[in-house]
Amino acid sequence: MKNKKERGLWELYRDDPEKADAEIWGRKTDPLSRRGFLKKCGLTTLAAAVGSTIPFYRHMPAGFIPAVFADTTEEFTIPGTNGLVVLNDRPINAETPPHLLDDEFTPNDRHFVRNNGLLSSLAESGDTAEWKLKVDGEVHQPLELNFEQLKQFTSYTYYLQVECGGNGRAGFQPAAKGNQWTFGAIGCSAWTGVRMKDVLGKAGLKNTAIYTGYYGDDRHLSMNPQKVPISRGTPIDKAMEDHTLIAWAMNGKPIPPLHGFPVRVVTPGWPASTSIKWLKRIFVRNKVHDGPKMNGYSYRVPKHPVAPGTHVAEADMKIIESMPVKSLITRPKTGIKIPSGKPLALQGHAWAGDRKVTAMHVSNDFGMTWVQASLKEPANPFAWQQWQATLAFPSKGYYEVWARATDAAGVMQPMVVPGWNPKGYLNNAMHRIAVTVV
Amino acid sequence: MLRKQITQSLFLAILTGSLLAAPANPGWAGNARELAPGEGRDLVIDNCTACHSTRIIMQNHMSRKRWDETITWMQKKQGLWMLQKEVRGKILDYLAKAQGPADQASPREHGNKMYRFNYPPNPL
Repeated sequence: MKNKKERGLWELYRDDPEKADAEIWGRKTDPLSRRGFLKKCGLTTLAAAVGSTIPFYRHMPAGFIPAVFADTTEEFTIPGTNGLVVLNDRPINAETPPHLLDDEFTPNDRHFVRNNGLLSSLAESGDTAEWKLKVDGEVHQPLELNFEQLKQFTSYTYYLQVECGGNGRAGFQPAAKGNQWTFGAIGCSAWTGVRMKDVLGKAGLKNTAIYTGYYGDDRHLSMNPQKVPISRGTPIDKAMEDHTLIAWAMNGKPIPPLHGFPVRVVTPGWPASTSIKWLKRIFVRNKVHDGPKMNGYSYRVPKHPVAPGTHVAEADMKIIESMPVKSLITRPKTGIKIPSGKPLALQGHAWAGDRKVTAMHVSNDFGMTWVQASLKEPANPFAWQQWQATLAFPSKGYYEVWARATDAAGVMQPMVVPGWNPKGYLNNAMHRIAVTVV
Repeated sequence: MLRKQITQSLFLAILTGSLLAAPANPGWAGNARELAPGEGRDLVIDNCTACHSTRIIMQNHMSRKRWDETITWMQKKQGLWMLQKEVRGKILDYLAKAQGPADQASPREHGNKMYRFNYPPNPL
């Protein structure tokens, strides 16, 4: 149990890092560089506190808790989340254990969190009065909309799958670089907003418009105000689909700060990095967008499949579009022990990016035999689909239940980790849970 | 109130030198403790945790060459400062050893995080 002193420090920094710096260390923030400058006595105190000199104190960003004080005696928990596994605390990245994704649609506090940078003060302000959306580039009529003007467009509520491109990265051998997501970087919540196509339609797309570029209000980790943590977009056709939203509500409530308050894009079925949070600008392009994390190896896979561990030239990489077919067993939790003689009821979700899932099967004998699950239709296109199945076990012992979804094009999930790629995207290998019959 | 308590207890701790024992005190263990021990660890903390925490370092296991490329990428794209050759060398020494590909074999590594058991496919 964290004692008061330890919690207080983290909360203090979370609430107002500059003030925390000033109060505890006498550190002033340089408004231009955002570096925190310690007054001489403060540096000595800080150095004594960490038990060593701090050679690069000049570079330490304002509001940064020296690592030695960041409390990790127990698992770091993120406010507004419930039971998520934290992969990183700066920037914040956390995924949901499959058994906590059992709800038909993902509650706000169970949706995975992915950040490339830090939250701006607007995100946590709860205030939409100052927010503006710029729409510019290859449009006849550039727009600047405030929150009320955005709400003038017809609004829609859709259940939309949002999955990180790197979900499953932890499975790749040799290891791929990046956050090591396992199964939980997926959510399907109810999103309310306006159609991207209606806003772009109002601006009037020129026939040179081929791609969108979205910009959000997150802050770069280095605190350099000139640097953008991430700016991605999609081909114009995907942006113009009915279910690509400019959203302001998640499950009927204002979007939580970590999920993009006040307004974000939701590009369902594509890597979630195209669902830019804290949206402030839509830049319509006459070429493939080239913002940070559009280029190099980011969200790209080799054009031609490579052997695991191959070094691939940048020119041989292509941008990921739709996510592949995938599924999860959300009930029961892996590791369950059940009495022998009784069949086991299972349930979960299945999704397939731009496609629908048309069949779901489960196996408890390493894929030798498969039992068909009952599969529901999606609530709307791009929603995940619920499935249920019952499995009988031949005897006592240790089993694994494997779950395999098939999409509308007849493509199934692979049994092994497919398509090694340098950054470890698109691992849609089957989910497996452990069941012991006693 | 709370801030005063913190400031006062920190001040007292500094005076009594108890914070100098920080590494041994689990209450103040922090992110830095999670990095495996080794020569160069301090340089990694000094240079590599100004922007992101140690957790992203610990999630990754790469060859020295790929860690080197990663550092270059951070300098080019993410605002990381220039490193003296000797400093960079020591950082890479640490990373290649503590976060090298061989480290994947240990029980807590990612291969076992996805599934309880791995069933390797039949070799061709």
